[in-house]
Amino acid sequence: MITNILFTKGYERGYLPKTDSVMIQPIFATANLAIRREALHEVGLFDGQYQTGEDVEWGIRLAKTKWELFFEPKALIHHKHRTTLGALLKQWFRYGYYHPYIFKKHTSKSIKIFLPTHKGMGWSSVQFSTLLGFPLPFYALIFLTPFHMLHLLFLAIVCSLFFKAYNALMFFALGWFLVWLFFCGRLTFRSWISSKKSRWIAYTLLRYLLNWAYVLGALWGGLKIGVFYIEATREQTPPV
Amino acid sequence: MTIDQKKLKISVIIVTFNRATMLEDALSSLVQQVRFPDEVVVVDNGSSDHTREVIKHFEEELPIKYIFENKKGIPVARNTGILNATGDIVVFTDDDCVADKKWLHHLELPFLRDPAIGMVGGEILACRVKGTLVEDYCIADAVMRVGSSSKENHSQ
Repeated sequence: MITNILFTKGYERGYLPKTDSVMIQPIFATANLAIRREALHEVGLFDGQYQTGEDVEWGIRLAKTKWELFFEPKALIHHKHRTTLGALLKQWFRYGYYHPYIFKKHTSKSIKIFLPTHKGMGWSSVQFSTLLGFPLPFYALIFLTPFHMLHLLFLAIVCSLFFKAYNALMFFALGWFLVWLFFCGRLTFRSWISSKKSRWIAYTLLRYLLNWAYVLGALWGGLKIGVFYIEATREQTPPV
Repeated sequence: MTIDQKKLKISVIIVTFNRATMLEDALSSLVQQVRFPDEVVVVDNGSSDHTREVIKHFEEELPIKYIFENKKGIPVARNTGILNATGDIVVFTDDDCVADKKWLHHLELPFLRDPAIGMVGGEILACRVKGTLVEDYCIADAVMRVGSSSKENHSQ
């Protein structure tokens, strides 16, 4: 699944649309969800294989039934979040760790590459569309988010520096700048001008670390079960 | 709109592990529900702290069903909860959560309104407990997710 438990929604009140893609489905977190008994009978019990992510997997199973999902923001739960960096990083690592298992369980051997598409400014408006998808003798799921693109291009810049390929370097540097401008620039600029600078830097750094924990969790969890999984990261820093 | 509130039986399932103090807050918030739960299944996933005493304390105020599940794992414990719940609607929340007074009321309404609805989810906001930078980040992130910076957060 693309997103993690606590930050999935930002949904509007109402029915949630199911998608054609197995892995991109609306989900509710077990911190705040209600299910009708008849639907429960159809969906079945939670998958006890892993320690977390069972609600994500449930969402995917429910999407295969006729039952509708309804989001009611007035049904409010206040959650006590992690308070230390270590605990938060561990939490995100674990979110990522479980996702390849769900992918393997619910799809056949194939590669799927998703690109983020923004609709509006908030991060919750980020949606994913399939860039590529075809059968392969193994499992691979890649979310080609700006986080990954920027790191790939950075790697290319370092390589071209190493081989003294300055034309290529200019090309990759321009690419890096364009990706940044296109995906992150607007958001970065907007939050920069409206923020306490020290907080903003801390939050951005934190977001960056969380993305790494998330990506490494999914990569590690995936490799252990023979799945190449590049997790969907998030670039926007919350307002300060 | 007249909707018969008595039509559905609601079971709330909470899995807990060594978080007696937090669980106390969670259960207190259930006592205050406008739409009172018909059943509260608390699955103790092997706690060694005073969780049992906390639950005992609430037994007069809530229709609690206490279950001790020795087999470790939140999904496993939630399944134990499901197998012990008898409601028409099964609701999940966690021991580190505090429910708004009208939480169950708002979760129930969509089910009564439309028989095609199988699952209802609500909003999850972050509350400030210790006021660390990391916690502030999570709160800001949740606010951003909701899409409004004016939304009040619950503070303890």
